Amino acid sequence: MEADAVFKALADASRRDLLDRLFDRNGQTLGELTKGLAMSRQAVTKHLAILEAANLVITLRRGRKKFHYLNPVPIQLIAARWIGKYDEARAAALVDLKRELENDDGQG
Amino acid sequence: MDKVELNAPAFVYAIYIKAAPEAVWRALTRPEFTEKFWWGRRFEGEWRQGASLTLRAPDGEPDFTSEVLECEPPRRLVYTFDVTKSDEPASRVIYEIETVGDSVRLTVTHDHFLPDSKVRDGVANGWPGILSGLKTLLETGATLDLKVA
Repeated sequence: MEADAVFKALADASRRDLLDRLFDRNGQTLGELTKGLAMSRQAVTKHLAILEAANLVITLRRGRKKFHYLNPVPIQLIAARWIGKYDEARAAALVDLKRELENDDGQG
Repeated sequence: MDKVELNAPAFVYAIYIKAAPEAVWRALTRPEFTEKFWWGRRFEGEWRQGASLTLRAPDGEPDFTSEVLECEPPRRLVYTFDVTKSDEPASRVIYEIETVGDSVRLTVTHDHFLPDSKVRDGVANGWPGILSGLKTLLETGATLDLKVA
């Protein structure tokens, strides 16, 4: 279950610190993220892997560099689960969408 | 991609949605669907390379105008994001839709902002809510057995 991975990833102060650092400045390399931290590079790598598995961090390669991004979307989904209200209009739109996809090739 | 860019983009968001790539594409591009998850906003115009579109708020005011840079349904869409009420130059949005098992991973990249961009701050607050709403729209059907094949 996706939410389990998110809660587990967030249940660690070091990982929350890493997310805070990305919130302050998005798109950092491992070297930048490790700078000034009491953690070893290996420990940061391990924490980042857990955050990435939970889809809270996204990595992107540009040339030889790898940048890390904060992805707040899974947190938004958890909030929406209890804060957002079920919206009947959405279900209706889905019915329209299904009908349309069945009526043509789905391109365009 | 036409060229490798060495600069890191400003924002990258990703969401997993249990739906067909065609359904995700439709929901992202058609006004009758965007208004269900994009706070009532509708795209006016055609999704075709070189074409222009306007995203309009429910009160009719334009939010931003776009030029379509790349359009490869149902996988990749690149468009400019020129906020009507701002003098800043247009930024750029990229949608990438990949199949992962029985779901898709939608990645939204938003870049090409000025260093001290105000548009950038507004955008940061917008995408998570939009993407969360999109997922709810597309997956609500799963519980009602309305899966989009």
